[in-house]
Amino acid sequence: MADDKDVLRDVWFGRIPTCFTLNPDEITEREAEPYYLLLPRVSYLPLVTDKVKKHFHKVMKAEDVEEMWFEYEGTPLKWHYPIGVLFDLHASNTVLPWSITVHFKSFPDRDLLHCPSNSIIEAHFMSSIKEADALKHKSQVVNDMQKKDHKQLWMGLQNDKFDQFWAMNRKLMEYPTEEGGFRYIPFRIYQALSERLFIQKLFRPVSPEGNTHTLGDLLKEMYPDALTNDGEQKRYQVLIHGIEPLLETPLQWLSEHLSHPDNFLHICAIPVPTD
Amino acid sequence: MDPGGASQRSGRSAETRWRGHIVRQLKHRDRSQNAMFQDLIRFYTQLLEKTNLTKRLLSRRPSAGGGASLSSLLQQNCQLKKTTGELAYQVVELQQQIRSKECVVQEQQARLQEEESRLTGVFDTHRVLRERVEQVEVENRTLKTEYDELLERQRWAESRLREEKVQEEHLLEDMMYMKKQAAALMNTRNERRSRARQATLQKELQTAARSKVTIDSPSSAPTSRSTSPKDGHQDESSRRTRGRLFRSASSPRNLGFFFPSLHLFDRKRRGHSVCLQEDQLFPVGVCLSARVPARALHVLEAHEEGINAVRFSFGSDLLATGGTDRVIKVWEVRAGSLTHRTTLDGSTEGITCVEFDPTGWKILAASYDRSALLWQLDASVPKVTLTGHSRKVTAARFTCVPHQVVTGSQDRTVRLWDLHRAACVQQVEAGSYCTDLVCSESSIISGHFDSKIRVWDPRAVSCVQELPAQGRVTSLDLSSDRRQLLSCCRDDCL
Amino acid sequence: MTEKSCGVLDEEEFYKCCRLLLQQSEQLRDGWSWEAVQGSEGYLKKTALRPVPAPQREEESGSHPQMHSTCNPSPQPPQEEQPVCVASSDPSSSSDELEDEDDNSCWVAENIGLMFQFEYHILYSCSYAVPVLYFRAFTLEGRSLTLGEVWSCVHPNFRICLQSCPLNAISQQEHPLLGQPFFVFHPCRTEDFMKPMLQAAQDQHRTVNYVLSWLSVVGPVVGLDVSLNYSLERLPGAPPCSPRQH
Repeated sequence: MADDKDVLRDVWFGRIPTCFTLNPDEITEREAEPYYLLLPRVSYLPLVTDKVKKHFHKVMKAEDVEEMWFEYEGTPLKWHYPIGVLFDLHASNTVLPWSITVHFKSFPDRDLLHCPSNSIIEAHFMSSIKEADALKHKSQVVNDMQKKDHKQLWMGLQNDKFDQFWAMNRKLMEYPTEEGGFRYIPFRIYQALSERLFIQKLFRPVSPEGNTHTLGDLLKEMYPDALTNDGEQKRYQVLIHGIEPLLETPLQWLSEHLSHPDNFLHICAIPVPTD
Repeated sequence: MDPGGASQRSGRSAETRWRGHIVRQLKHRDRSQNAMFQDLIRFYTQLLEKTNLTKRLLSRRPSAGGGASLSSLLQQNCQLKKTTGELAYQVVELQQQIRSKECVVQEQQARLQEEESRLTGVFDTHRVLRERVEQVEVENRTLKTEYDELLERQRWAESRLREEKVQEEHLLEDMMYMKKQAAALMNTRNERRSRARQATLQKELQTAARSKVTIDSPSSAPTSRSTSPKDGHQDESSRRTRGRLFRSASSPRNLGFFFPSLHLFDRKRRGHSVCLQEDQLFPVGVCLSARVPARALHVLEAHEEGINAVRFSFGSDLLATGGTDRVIKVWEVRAGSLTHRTTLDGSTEGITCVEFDPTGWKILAASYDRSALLWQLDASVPKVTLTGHSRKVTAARFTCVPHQVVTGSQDRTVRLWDLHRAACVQQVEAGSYCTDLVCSESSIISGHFDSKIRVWDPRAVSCVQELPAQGRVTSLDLSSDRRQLLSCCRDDCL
Repeated sequence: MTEKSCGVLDEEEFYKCCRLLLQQSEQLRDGWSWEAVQGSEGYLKKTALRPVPAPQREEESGSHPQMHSTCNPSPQPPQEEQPVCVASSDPSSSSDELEDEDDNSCWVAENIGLMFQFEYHILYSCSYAVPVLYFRAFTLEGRSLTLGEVWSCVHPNFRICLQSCPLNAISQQEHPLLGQPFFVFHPCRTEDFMKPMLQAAQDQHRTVNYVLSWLSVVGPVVGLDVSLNYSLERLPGAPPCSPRQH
């Protein structure tokens, strides 16, 4: 459907205005100006912050520079989550632009994965796609692809090439019509205020009775707290790509159109701002 | 929230609801998060770059202007001079390079001109060739038309030829018919004559029997050329011969022998009986005392192909046969039957004529292979081969002179050979194809294709006498007293 | 009770196998424990000390100066020290025991820098329907090892095979329950190598603890040896799965 293609484009080209400021504890030769950037929601932080790195390297001595990492209001930002997820999870209702602090020392080993090169991101990205395909097609589609097809997916993301990426990703989104959807929906529900990071379980797009499962059905089973009972004040926002889809939206459609490039449907449940 | 059994329509409307919601939300998100900041951030980045640039310029100026001392300027000057020198040197070097390059260019231009002239030459030849091609094409066209014409003419000629052939066939048929009629007429006439003669003979016999008169061999009706009276008791026997012409009708390769009570006759047949062909004309003589020989005493398959010649030896009871199958077989006649004695080979073509020498130990044969061959009876390979004739040898005979042989050939010559030397001693141009020969003490008699019988003197090498015959002479023989000559001609007469 | 013909196991079976393994571990004092996270979910955990692999020490010390200083006085200590700390009859179990205690106590000063502390977690991956081995390692000062250092701990024979396809073998990933960086033995090939093993067991009508069998394959690669006693203990016929809650 024409609308669907537009949705895919909107999802792909989603941007978050961000202000990078250097951590005041870093030793600099002179004052570092903040750096503003529109971050693509579907990408990963180390993949799009080369300019930021260069910008801050100018004011620092080479010996003071270690691996770069990012922090937002005291929380180290995990680069292996898509940028959109990080924003929705931590800063969705704050004033824009999103203000991120840049660090070059004291890498928090216990919280963050190291990211020495883009190949690590690629490995992470491909392993996500593989896992998603294991859920969707028992890994059949991804295993049938050739090395260059995998590369095409990755290069599409790395170079922000929508058509290149979707030419290949289309195959990953196919399913036998008689089954009405994937085997399982690859999804993750992130909770902002929970010791539990995210929920990831098996969930089918169609119920045993043949009814289409909706976003509401998923939440009811996985995270009932996120739903509002009659007469109650709404407590949670359920965000995907920064928007709140209606709970009646079919899950299969969401998985096909609102998944991130890693083929997972990243859902953030965040508390409704009190003020 | 989605009613379980929702109709398709409500499902459709629900779909547009949630989809529309998502699209709207995305647009809204982009407006608030993206569009509002896009320009701002771009401008900020530009500004940042500009300030960076100015900062760099500012930071450079103090170091260049403020701390400029004379020495550093001098140093700079020195530096500049050095670079100037270097540049000048480079200029010189480059000029040299230019010169060398120019040389190369000239050289290449010269080569280019050369190539061009060659090219024009090649073009010329190309043009000439093209012209020739055109010319040849024109010629080809004319040739083609001529050829077509000729083809047309040939077709016409062929059709004419076909017509002619048809006519010829008609004529041939007519002729055949006429010939057949003539032959039938002749046969009836002959029969009538022979019957009359028989009647007279019978009458004579009866009278003779009655009158007990001794009979002197009466005008002994000549026997066949191939039956030579053989021994005494044949001679003694009062011979009443009755020539009868047998139109042979039996199959080839059979030898039939008639041994009626006292007389030995030999009948020879050769195939292709019914039609009038020359090689068929071996007349058969039959000597009968009382009755017509009616059955073959002994019949055997002797040769693989047709038999052309057969002859008894003078003294012994040997019989030699020669055939188209290139061999001569010698048979022993004993008690009325034939036993194979030996086979003589060596001829490369069919045998036309066979003869025993007077001793009975040698066999002479004439062959299609243009030679005459001589065998010893006990050796299967030829002892002497006489070559010299240019066409097939039709007749070969021992003359009365020992070690001398005479041959006649289709090449219209008659040759005399010396067996000691195996060489031709004399050669006579006969003027016509010689078909048969016989020899007496003093002369050689030859029968010819031009219907003549010629008598030769071997010493003088000249034709002594020329006798006309009614037709082409096919066969000759002499009576044993050598006074009478029997000839056989193509006119079906003796 | 544990085997499935297709080489995978579902979540419930995973927990059963874990309980069984835990029972045996208690009997053998092997140091496995169950860490529950939010109700039924959880993982098996074990910590162990391992000596620094000798050949790799030089290059590590080159890249990490703080280690270099501690190692310098005795250039070949692991070989000398090992007999001391594993004096008892069964090397694996005794060392494990020691390490268990080591969890909360301080260790002899001489061993500092010579041992790495490994922490192994066994989790269930519902995507691949197989168990996954997560692990991390620290120096005794508490510094986390890098991926390169972890590779150097892998036996050279395995390393050559595994590094040929690095994306499929060991990589650093987030622990799905703790959210912390762990090294993980990638599970996407697990089904492939478990299938023939389970098939063979099924053909012989033997019951197999999927998790135990799997661990005996994967564990040794990263220094987690599984004692043979686990398999021996099964023979007397301990109740295969007694309900046991944490």
